[in-house]
Order: sequence, then C-alpha cells, then structure tokens
Amino acid sequence: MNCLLRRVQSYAIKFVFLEKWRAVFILNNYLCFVLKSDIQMKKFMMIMVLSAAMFACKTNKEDKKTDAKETVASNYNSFGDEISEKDYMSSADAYAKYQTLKAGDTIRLKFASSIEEVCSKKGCWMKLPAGETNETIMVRFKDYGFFMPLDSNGKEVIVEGKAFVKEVSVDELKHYAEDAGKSAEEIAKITAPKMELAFEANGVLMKK
Amino acid sequence: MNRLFFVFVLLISFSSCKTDDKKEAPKELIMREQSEMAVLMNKMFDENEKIKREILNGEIPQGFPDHYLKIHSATLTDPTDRTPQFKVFSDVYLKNLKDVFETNEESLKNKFNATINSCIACHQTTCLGPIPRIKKLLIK
Repeated sequence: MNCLLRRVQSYAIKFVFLEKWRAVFILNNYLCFVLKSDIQMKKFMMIMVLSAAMFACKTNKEDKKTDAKETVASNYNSFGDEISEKDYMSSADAYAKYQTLKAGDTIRLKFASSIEEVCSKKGCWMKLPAGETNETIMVRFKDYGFFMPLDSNGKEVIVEGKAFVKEVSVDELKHYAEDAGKSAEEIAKITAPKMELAFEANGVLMKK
Repeated sequence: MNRLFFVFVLLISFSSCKTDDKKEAPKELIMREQSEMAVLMNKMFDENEKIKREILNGEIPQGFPDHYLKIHSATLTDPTDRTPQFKVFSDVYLKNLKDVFETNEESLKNKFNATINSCIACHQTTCLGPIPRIKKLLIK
C-alpha cells in the first residue's frame, strides 16, 4: 500500500508540476521520507501536497485567462500590424465616409466587411463590398508588407488603415482583372478609367 | 484515514486540473510562398535603402552587388511575366545601378534616382503593387 501510494503521489506531483522536474524529485523524496514518519509529519505532508495542488490549479486558471484572451483574438487570424477587434464601423458607415472624400483627401478608418475577391496570384489586394451598394472598396496593404491567404474569399474581416479615392487607369484596371483571374473577354471590356474607393490597410483581422 | 484523504485530495487535483487539454487543430491558411524573384526583390529593396542612406550621409556606396544578376534567372511569381520587355528593363536597371557605383559624388543622387525609376517603370508593366513602396526609395 505504501509503495502504491508513493507511486500515485509521485505521478500526481509530476503531473502538477510538469516541467519542474527538479522540484518534483526533491519534493517527492521528501514526502516519501515523511510517509515513514509520525502522524504530525504526515499531516504536514498532506498540507504541502494540498497547497501544491491548489497552486497548480491556480496556475491553470491563469493560463485559462490567457486562453480566454487568446480565444477572443484567436477567433481571428491577424495580418500586418496587430489591431484590436473593437471600435470598428460597418462597411456601410465606411462607405458614407467615402462619400465625403475628394481626390487627395485621406482619412483613417477601421471597418468590418467580408472579402468579395482576393488577388488570386499573391493575395496582395482584396475587394470588400461597400455596405449594401454594388461598389467595392479596394484594399491594398501598407508597403506591400503583408498578403492575405489565397483562399480567403467570403471571410469576414476587420481592416484598419487609410481611406482615399483615386482614379484608376484602364491599364491598371486590366492588370487587377488579370490578377483576379478574369477571362480575356472580360478584360477586353475594360475601356474606361474608374474612380476607386481605395484603402491602404496597416492591419487586418480575418475571422476563422 | 490520512492516506485515504491524501489519495482523495490527489484525485480531486487530477480531475480539477485536467481540463481544456483538447484544442482544435487550427486550419491552415493557403498563403502564397515567396518566389525566388520576390525574395531577390525584397533584398534589393533593403540594399537600395542602405545605398540611399549612404548617399544621404555623404558616403560613397562601394561594390556592385553581383547577386543582382540573378534577376535574369530567378523564378517569378508568374513565370509568364518574364518577357523580352522584362529582360530590357532588367538590363536598364543593372546598368543604372552600375553607374551609381562608378559615378562621381555630385551625380550620385541622380544616378540612384534613375535606378529606382527604372524599377518603377518595369513594375508599371508587370506588378503594380510594390510601386508605392519603391517610390519611397527616391531621394528628394
């Protein structure tokens, strides 16, 4: 019984302390010694084990807190600068802000939308629907410093960065159509420049 | 009795601590791996940034980087972009960069900007994305 108890005790302490092997062996040897001792010492040993168990559980709770924090953050994959998932506006509100801009104006925005289209070659740009309109917001990434996954069409995102409007030339429009994997026929249909709702994101959160 | 209590305490600690061990394996995202050319271009960007700093500090850049010649062979993200036009742009870029290392101090800024402008000119025909970043290399 004593031997069995010692084994249980040994595994339990190893479990509780995990990597703290050195402490485990020292404590374990000490407890084994105590088991052969008088009742007072056994009580002392029990208090120690109980404290160790409580300490271990407390540590786990702290880990869980970290997990919970991560759970909020880990609902998203982060790209570029780490941004928070709070204080963003809808893409409809962002669209309303765009209506106040003229060429050359820049404002900082943080809004949520879902990816309508992503660059199929590298993931170096994405188009987000602007509210319920037929328009899209063209998102590029600051300093070409990060890209989106190629399979991220339809995913919900929160983007933070600079919003502006600009005229995009026919050549550029054709280039992006090519990137998007459009057919030669579709590309040939592009004959006029277009005012673009542009966005330079410094950080993106994409819902998993 | 004490031992029973001891075992009981351990069992409690086992059951209370052993939670949330199972986590869902995260889904892998399909990211585009950097092509040889993308790696080379990023290196070129960093090194041209260094050259810019040297020029601004009144130093004279030394030693043409021979590994830039890989521009003629590195695999592109889209291999169809390696056109005769790309070859011409590559040659112009390398020539301009060589000039930076062979010119006098007064012409350094102009020669360097000519190099960067050749990058921009090429990117306007193949890959537009990095242009705003490359423009930051220009010495004003």
